[in-house]
Amino acid sequence: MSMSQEEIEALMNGLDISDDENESSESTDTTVDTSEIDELISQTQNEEELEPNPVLEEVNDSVEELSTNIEEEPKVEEMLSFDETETSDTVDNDDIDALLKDLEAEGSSQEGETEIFDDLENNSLSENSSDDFDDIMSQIDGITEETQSTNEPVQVKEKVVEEDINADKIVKDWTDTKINEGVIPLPAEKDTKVVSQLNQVANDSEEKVSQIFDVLSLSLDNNNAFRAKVSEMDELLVSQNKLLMSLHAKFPNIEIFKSNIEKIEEVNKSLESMKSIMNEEDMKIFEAMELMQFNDINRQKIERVMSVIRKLSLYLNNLFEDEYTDQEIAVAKHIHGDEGEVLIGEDLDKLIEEFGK
Amino acid sequence: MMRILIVDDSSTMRRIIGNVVMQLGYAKEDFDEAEDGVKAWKLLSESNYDVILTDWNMPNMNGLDLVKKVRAEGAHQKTPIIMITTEGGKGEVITALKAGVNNYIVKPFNAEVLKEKLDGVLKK
Repeated sequence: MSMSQEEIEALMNGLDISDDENESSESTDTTVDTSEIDELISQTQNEEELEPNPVLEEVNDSVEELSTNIEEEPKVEEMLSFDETETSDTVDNDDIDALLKDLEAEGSSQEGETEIFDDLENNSLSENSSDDFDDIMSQIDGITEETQSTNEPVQVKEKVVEEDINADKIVKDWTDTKINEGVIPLPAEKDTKVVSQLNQVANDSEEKVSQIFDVLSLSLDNNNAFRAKVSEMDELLVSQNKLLMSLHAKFPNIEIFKSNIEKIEEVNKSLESMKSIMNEEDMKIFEAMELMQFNDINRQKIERVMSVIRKLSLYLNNLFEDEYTDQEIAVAKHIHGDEGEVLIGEDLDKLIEEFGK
Repeated sequence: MMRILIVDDSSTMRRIIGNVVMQLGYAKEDFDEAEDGVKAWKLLSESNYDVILTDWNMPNMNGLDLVKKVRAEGAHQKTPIIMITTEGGKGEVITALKAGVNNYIVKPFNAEVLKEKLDGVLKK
């Protein structure tokens, strides 16, 4: 569960790469420093006695001075063990994953990740750690203290919340499995009460069908409006046609009268075609409206099922009704013939004897 | 002017029947709607109708009770009644006819069927 420093570094590096190029240079320095400390810590963990680290020999004089100071084994062990426990208490993979998920969900990944980065940097003792090992050690102390004093309550709270969520999830998964296996029934909630749900379905369906009906009615009304316009055009064309016919009769040599009469005939054909399309559409709409009767038919089927369930419920209530109002009867947990352990015969005698000794 | 009363608890069905009636050439003003027997009886008491189209299964007062009431009292004892219902059993049809229904339509139906039945009851 606990996250090692290397993992934290890896996470930090990942954040640097993905989020902020400007911070990458800092993080490179940080990584080097942290690795030095990690190396020191790991060496101290592996060996009973703390020996001077070759890496630290390359650091300045103050580091050497300090390395001699930390020859006091118990102190170092104490410090390291404390640091370890602190690390495992405060940061683990789940915590970071949960935090990252939360931050992603909030859409404020930039700021959030920077905060995590800062936290992780604090925990990994990475800040201002290259010059003096005293500073490093003081930072280690500072970190652990800081973690205790400021971060711990928040992180503990988060952990508690997360544990609650995990527990809820486990319970939910278990319940779902048992429901699917038919071991336990669905809970009697608003969404699972059968009659209530059926009633809701019937009412919703009625409402939606009514809305569909509105749409179809609108189409019918529009078609009627088009038909009225077409009739107006029809009247105009008839009068124009009469006029042109008379003109053509009087002036048969003028070609334009004849050609216009032909055009009017074409327009008339187009209008007739439009009328026929609208009529066809009307017929289809009427068909659709007729089919919507099935909503009423299905609603009545649902009502019939609801009625059966209500009667069944009433019957079962009557069947299981208890005439006596006594308190709940104590029932035996293990009875002869049950599966499992029922203590009888010699086993029972043996047990009694053992207790008698 | 021909007046029609449409009685059905489903608003969709009332609209469908209304549309079918309009397809037969009647105008919107030619028919009224009621959602149960009680409201239908109230309308029958207030206005005159030439034909009644009623559903069977409705809350408050069902179609069969309405038919019996119309045939027993009021100004519409001779008014033609067509029952439009999902009840398609022979027993139900006989019951309705005995109660005084002039014709019977089982849902779903189409405009032709209603026209036929309407013409049939109005001719008599």
